[in-house]
Amino acid sequence: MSGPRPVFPCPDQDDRALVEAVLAGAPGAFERLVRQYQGLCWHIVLRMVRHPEDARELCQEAFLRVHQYLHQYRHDAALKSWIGQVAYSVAKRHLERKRILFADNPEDGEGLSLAESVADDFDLESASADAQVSSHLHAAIDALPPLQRTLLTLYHLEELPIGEISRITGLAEGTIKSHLFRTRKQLRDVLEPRIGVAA
Amino acid sequence: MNVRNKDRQNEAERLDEREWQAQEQALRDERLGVAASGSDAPDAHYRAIARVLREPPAESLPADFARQVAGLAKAKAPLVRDATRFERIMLNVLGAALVLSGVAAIAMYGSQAVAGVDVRIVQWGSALAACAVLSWSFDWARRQFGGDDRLHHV
Repeated sequence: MSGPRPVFPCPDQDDRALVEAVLAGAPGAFERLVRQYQGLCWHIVLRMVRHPEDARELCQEAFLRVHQYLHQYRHDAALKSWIGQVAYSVAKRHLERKRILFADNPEDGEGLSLAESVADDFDLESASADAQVSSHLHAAIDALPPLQRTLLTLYHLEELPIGEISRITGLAEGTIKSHLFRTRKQLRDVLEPRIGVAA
Repeated sequence: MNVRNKDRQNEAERLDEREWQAQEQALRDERLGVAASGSDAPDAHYRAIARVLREPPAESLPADFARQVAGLAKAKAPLVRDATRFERIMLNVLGAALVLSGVAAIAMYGSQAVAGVDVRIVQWGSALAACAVLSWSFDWARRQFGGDDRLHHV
């Protein structure tokens, strides 16, 4: 019954080994690090700035920063969070430079009325119900402020726990929960008149 | 009046909590790919929202992005290293200049300055300075002889 158990490497140990390899200048180590975390970086940056061309440049900038400051990484948080934090701050600075509204305050009532800001030009006849709901939701998500869009992406697509998102964004966990709650409620309100109770 | 306000607030909190649970349940159901556990409209809405939010963006990074960035980082590394080295040298030079000017000032005007000050303040000040120097020396020695775990991976 008690045969030898397979030993799975701990992701934390993998990260530590990868960081040490990059710092030691091992060939291919940094490329491996980029490949491992480029998805996370892309999702954060693209959701924040929305323009793929800008997002590509910012992702490059984020990884060059990671390379430059990796010696300052202390392993006190997951490498994923640390890299996410770098990507988030690079994208945030880009938005600030361009004077783009970054977030709605969750305490300011319902904030932006998504139902009003989403274009009302869908062809109800030609699209199937699912595709119509999906494209309407995509339009509503695009109309959200960058912060709300990014929090939803980190929570739903990257499946990060709220504590990790807090480390990446520097926001309090309660604030993140509040943003998630209100934004999802806003998105539900967008769907309400479209699919009603029949959904 | 206050009781009615409190009741209203409690009711709102209860509804918000129920709404949050519906959102989280839809997220869990969508992750696991199970049939919706709720059957009413809000649950179906949240399920649709969770489904769309889990879709990755249509655009993606170029296939050779990692190789390109690694090449760029390698090319920039000597420049960054030189800049860091220059910064460190400048810091050391300025630090040394500060210490030397401090020593020179004490040597030239120290006795005049101390003459007007209460002797107890001078004694306690000297003791404090000695403690600070001792503490910095220990810290410096620990870093020099590898006692600081934080520096092992650098």
